[in-house]
Amino acid sequence: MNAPVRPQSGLGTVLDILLADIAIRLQLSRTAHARAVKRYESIREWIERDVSPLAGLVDLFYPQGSMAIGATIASRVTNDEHDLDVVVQLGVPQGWSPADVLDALYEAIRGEPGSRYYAKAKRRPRCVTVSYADMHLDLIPMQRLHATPERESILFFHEEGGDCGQSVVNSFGFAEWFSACTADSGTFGPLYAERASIYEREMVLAEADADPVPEQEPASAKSLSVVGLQLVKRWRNVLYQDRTNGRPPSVLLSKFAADQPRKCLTLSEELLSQAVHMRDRFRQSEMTGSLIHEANPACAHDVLTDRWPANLGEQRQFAQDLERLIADVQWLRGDVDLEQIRCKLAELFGEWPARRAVEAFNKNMGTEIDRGRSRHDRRAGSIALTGVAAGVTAPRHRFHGGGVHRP
Amino acid sequence: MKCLTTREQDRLVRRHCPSFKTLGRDRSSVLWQGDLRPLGKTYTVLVGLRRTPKAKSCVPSVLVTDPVLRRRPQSPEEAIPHIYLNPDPRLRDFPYLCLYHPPSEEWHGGKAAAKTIIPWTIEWLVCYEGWLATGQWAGGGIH
Repeated sequence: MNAPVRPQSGLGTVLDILLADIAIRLQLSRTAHARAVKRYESIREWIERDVSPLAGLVDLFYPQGSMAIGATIASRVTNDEHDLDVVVQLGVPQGWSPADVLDALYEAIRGEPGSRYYAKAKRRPRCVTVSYADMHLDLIPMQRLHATPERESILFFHEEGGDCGQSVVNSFGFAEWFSACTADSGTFGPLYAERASIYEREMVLAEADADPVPEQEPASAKSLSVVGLQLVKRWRNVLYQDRTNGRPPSVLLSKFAADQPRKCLTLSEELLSQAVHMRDRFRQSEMTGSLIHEANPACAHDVLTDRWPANLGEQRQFAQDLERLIADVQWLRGDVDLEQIRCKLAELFGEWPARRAVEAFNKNMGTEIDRGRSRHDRRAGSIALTGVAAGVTAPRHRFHGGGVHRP
Repeated sequence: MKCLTTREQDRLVRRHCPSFKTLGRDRSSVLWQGDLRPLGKTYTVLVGLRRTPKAKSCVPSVLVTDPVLRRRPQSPEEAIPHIYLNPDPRLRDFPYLCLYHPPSEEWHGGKAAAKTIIPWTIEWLVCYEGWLATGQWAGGGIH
């Protein structure tokens, strides 16, 4: 009997599976996540040492941005390096200027010549960056504002010979709001986590050579919205890699992902819906001739569009980029073969993640076919993919011939 | 082994593969045309069964009529794997698919084409798309 075949997980088509596998290959693995946490905890211990200019002043360390909302994605187009943000909540002494705060954090991290972070630390206008071979940690000093909602804080900025000041932000509140908006109890999350776990285990095995591999905790489940956002961020990174003008910040893309109103059933539909939602918001601003304005829902003072777009030209350019993304995703959801999908995904998300995702898909499908385990939807004339219920198997067989043969 | 008649084969194809229509049938042969969408692309295929004087069983033949099967642009000298050349010189762009290993009797006339030849065609097309995209025919086979 033919069992009914229906998508139930957000991964019902080859496109959905490849999009998920691209995100898995670009996101921060559990191993790298644990490494990042260990690193910033070590930095915290270091800057609290007795001779540190911040000794006794550190209240709290916590991740913000993509690490806080589970939407990390490689920051470079050609490799899988990550930029991660960590808030350093300080009890800033009376009378310190923004420059004093940033300089003190820089000195506290850098230490004496020859100390562990001396060559790795760099002072920036809003943070101190500590660089590792595989990631950059941006440590952002903030001061908690008392008698305000949880973790509402002052952010400092100071550029040598340029702007100097402070603003009120709440990245913790934003992450809480984002998580509440994008929570999803459907089957996509566990299935995505399972795929991520398999991939990460393969990576660990590949790196471990002959050493025994420790058991890993299962990867955390993510919602369609979060994975859709990861893909949008990656697309933005690829799009702007050779541009010299500013690019839409991740926090703004996150805001749009969270308040995208449509409930989607598949990952490609989610990606499309996020792009359409953003395009429509930019169109509204375009119609009034104004720059888009978005604020942190957890803190009205925290304006997410304060640095981008700088002008109407930047805004218009991104709206046109979104039109192309929408057209591309619609085309990908149409009548296209795996090679056409691979080429378009490489264009949108970079060559290596697209190629590796397609190679892995091909290998997995081929193995299932070779072992007589692939499942079919006979009525649709298709292969029943991961995340699609039921399907029937065909008797095992072996393709014959090695090229062109006469019957 | 009892061979299924062309009528029985036809009934099973129409029951299990609704996208297929019968183009012709007699006591010794049957020909179907159908659409398959193994992954994301739709292919129109012709599937035939023919009882030959030499063969004790029916011989299946499958070819893809739309789109025309193509070689990899990155490697135009490389032949499409697991195909038989169409002996009709006018139909060189429409090779037959090598779906099974005849000496192993993976196929015989007692099996339903609807449950073997047509699903194997879907699997061939999946491997073909994978080969086009990566250069690797991942579904195995015998050379």
